Amino acid sequence: MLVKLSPSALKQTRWYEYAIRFVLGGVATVPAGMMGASFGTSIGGLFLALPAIFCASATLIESHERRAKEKAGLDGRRRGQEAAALDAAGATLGSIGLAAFAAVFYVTVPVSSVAAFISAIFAWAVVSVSAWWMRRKFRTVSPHRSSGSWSRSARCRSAPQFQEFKHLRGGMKLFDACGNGIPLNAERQTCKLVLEPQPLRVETLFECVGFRLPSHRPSSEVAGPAVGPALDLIDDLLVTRPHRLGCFWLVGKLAG
Amino acid sequence: MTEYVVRFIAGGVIVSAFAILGDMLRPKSFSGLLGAAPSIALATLAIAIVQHGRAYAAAESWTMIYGAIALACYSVAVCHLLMRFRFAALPATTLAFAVWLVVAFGLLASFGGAA
Repeated sequence: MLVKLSPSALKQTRWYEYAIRFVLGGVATVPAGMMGASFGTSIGGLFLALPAIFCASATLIESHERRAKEKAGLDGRRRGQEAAALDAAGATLGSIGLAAFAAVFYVTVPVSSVAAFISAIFAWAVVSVSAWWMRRKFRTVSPHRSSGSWSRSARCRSAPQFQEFKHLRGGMKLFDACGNGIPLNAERQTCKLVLEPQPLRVETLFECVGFRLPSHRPSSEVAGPAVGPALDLIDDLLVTRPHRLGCFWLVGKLAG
Repeated sequence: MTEYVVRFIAGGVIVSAFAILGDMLRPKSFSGLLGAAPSIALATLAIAIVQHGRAYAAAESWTMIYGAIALACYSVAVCHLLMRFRFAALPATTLAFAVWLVVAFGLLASFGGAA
């Protein structure tokens, strides 16, 4: 399923973070109304799309992701930044829906207030989700196909929506960003990576390949020089858009 | 005073509701859509209709379009500050506010308010 509702994610948020959002929401709403009363509807309308809440949301997301990674003994700073950036990218698409909300409201409010709110919210939802879906759908693989050599694959400019390591008879097979198969040594295994931000534990991935991480030791201490950096890389891959070169580096490390 | 309290509570409830929904949704790019939810607008426009009438609310919603475009530019700026320049979230979101101001008031100056 493309989109999931995960109520368990609410456990990550502490009670004071909900309080902060409530207070910020209220604090942002009061001046938005005051602007209209003080400076006219033109200025007041601008502040209806003020990004006042986004500051708190992005900071909270960054701290959640950073904390999650630091629990595993890794530096979570970059992960937090990437998670907040992903949220910002979603907000960009949502802004298109917000413009649709305003336009539909403008057109329908002279007829009926209730109908205006309902139709405007509906327009926001449809336009935002459509924009998000189209962005996912049309991230295409580069049309240039090569014979699958390492350096040619690394020059691919487009990232597919998914990259998969498929466990086929005779060993694991990796498909690069251009859709070319990169055969791996059958004795080497790797993980099936779904390069979309899904809540997937790094430990689960590595158990697939026979690495069982000691529960009370930082993951970087696991035997093998490649595992620590590979854990960092997989963790990054899970958060954001596919990092093709990084993915190939990981394959190189594991495949030898 | 009552008006401010009502605005505060209404805005806080709606923003919190969208934020909770955003926390539960996966993937994160989808939950990011709710970062641009019309949470402030819902509360403010509802109060505007009660206080000043529908024509007032319609006039505000027209320039809200400029604000939404500015919000899109703001979000892009935040994304770049986080990914390319590796800012932390708080300074990135604060600095990018300048982008919102420039774009929003630029559009208002260029195209004007509702007729």
